[in-house]
Amino acid sequence: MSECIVITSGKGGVGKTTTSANIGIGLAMLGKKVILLDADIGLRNLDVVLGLENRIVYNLVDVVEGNCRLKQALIKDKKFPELFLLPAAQTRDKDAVSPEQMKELCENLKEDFDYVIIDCPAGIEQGFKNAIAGADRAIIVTTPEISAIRDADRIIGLLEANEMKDHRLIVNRLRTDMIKRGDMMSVEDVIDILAIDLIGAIPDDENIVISTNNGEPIVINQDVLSGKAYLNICKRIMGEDVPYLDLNVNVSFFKKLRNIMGINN
Amino acid sequence: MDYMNELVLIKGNRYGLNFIMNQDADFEALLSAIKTKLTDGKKFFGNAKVSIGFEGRSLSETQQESVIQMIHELTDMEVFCVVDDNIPVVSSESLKAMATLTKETMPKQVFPEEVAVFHQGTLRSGQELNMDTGIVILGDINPGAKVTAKGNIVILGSLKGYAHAGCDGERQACVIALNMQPTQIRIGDVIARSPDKFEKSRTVAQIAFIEDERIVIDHIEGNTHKDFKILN
Repeated sequence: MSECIVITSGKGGVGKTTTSANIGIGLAMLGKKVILLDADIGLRNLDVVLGLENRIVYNLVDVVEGNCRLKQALIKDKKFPELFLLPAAQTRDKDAVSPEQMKELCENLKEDFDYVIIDCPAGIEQGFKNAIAGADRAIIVTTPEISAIRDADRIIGLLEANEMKDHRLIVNRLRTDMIKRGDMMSVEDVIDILAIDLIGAIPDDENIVISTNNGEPIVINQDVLSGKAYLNICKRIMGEDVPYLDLNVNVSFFKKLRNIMGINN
Repeated sequence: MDYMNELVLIKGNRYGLNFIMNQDADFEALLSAIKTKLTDGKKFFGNAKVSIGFEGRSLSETQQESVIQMIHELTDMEVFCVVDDNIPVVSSESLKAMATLTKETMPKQVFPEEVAVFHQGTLRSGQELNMDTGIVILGDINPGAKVTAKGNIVILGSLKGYAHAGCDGERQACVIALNMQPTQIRIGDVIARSPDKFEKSRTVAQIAFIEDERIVIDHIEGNTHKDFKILN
């Protein structure tokens, strides 16, 4: 039974594309056949994050307009042969496709893949409407900042208005040190405000930036906490019950020492 | 490719005109296509003395005769010989005629007036430039930007995005850039993508062209321009 999941947030820059790439790869690592669909027409990024930009010949708009067959536009990932990308067009805009066309496209993709992951553009306009049109459920990405949470709240409202009841939350860029000092909202605080189920929490990690810039999403690296956190999210998507990670374990030796000695920096 | 759909293409070369004909069309249709082209191009062809050649299919002598007659009727050109790839016509007369021809008038008459256009400014992600001619860009092509031209593409800056030269199928087109780091280069119907790990940026002018069905990139050296074919 295949599923179409949209990754959305409302606000820009909270990590939708990074999350989409990592979830796509994570599911492929777990043996699923996955298609990542970049719905951000005109501002495509997913291909860059996956390091596949130079392979693009046809894109989503070409498929929708019938310039090519669907199979011709799919790009196979470098490492995972079960992972494919359908890139967005860069020289067009969101109006180039309609929600009905997206819905049809998702239905077609679901025949061949276990999971269709849609990277939604920021905002609540045409691009958002296109992205959610074919989705069975949604994953909402937010950071523990009031602006991102406000936008996530708006998005949840819009999803419910579109009769999409199955939506879960990823809280991204958590900094345990700041939460301890009371300078940042904790996961619990965020859930209190948004009142939806959590599917994962990702620590703020400079490794994510490094790996993203190299075109190799962090989930491949299971030695770091953020990579593990993404893989756990994938397992939860597949229905496994995985306990939440203690994001504190990544504190360095010196910080531990400082904590023991009661010195706060 | 688009140009395959046309029944007849008339291309100029050093000596005269080449008629590239659709293999499958019947002769009457070809003749009427040639008629239209000649009528449209009467001014452009001028009153040159030309040799003509036929490509794409073989014509009988009577058929050739009717094409030549049409040229004489519709334009001011004078056909002095027919060049057949299989049977080279090398009478001493025609050789002499060719020699004087190449010296004097021909190139100016055959080459189209507009060979390339200039574009000033950097093309950024999502911007696209399409030209029916060659193109010279005074600026960079950033990642995500795209240049498409029927002729050659010369970039006086960095090529980091997409470039497609000879986009109607012309495999002799080339792409030149001062700093060659393309995401993808296409020439004619051949596609090449960049390596996944790029070396440090090179600031040597380079040229991309087709060799043995593949796109190769080479430094521009002193005599590169000799092989350079001007396309429009």
